[in-house]
Amino acid sequence: MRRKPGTLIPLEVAILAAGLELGNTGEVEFHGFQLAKELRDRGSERGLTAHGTLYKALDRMERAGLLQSRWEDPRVAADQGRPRRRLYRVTGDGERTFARLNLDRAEATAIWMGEPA
Amino acid sequence: MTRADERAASVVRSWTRLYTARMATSVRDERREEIDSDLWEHACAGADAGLARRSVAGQMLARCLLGVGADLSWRAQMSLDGRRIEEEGVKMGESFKRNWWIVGPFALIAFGVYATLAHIVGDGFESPWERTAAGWDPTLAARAGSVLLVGSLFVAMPVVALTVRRTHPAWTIGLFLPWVLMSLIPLMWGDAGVWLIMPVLGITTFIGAVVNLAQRSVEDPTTVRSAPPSTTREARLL
Repeated sequence: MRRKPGTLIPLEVAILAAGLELGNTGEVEFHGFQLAKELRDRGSERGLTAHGTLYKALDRMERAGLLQSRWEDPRVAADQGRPRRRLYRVTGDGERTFARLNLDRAEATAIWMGEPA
Repeated sequence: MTRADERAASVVRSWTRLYTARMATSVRDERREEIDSDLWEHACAGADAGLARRSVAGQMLARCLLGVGADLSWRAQMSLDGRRIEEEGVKMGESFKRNWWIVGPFALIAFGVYATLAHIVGDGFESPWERTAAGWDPTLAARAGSVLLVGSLFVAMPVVALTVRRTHPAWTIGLFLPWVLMSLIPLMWGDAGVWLIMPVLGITTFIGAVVNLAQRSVEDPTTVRSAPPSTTREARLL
């Protein structure tokens, strides 16, 4: 999707909303699949976000300073017998950007679903 | 994972390997590892939710297919950006431009090893194995000893010269100079033939080494001066 520099596309708004929502429930850091699931749950039958769409958006948002990520300690992943996760969190800039949008989370979901806010 | 979702995950991984091929190592590995983690989490979440394995496999494939466009545009964006992908290529290109002459000593060493073997057990460039099949030459040990001694010097000098070229560039030139003179020996023979490759490689390598060191001294004079031992020790302690 083409967009003007400095603007957010609906998916990015929804990611910020979902990330902040997860933070409110105590999960400040989240991984890609967890986010895809959260977005699906918020958007009912929309389904899980495609790999390419999701990770491209996360990469772009991280470079814009809205998110930051770190790789989980490999020992933790090894102990649990799974690949290590890349954990994201919404930054202060991300929070402020979301606040400036003057949207609540329901509106952000509506944008993500393509409905009028 | 079970067979259906394993197969689907394998397809997704193959696609990821394909579109991240020839990218900068760090970017490529991170994307592959992240997708790998996503697939694992997806399979576990499907199992926890009691979903049919085929259903999970179908979801994985759908997520992959629906994201193909984004994957390709991400890849293209990275290529245009250039910083991540070309960084390594540029470094390699720069490195090759500066250090092409290092190939010279190794080519010469390879030639020298073959020529030495041929000299010990054969005539000229007759295959060494043909001669050994014919029988043992009684003077072979003496000839082998002397030729191997000279051959070892011929190999050791450029190896040491290359090893110390960053820390002691003057030694590099000092070691290369007699080495190049040795490589000129075939010029004294009446009909050197194929042995002329030795002086050609030797002179080319020497010129390459001198040009490289001159370039470095112009760009950053501190890199070609040997640091005093005390300074080096202090730096290490710090």
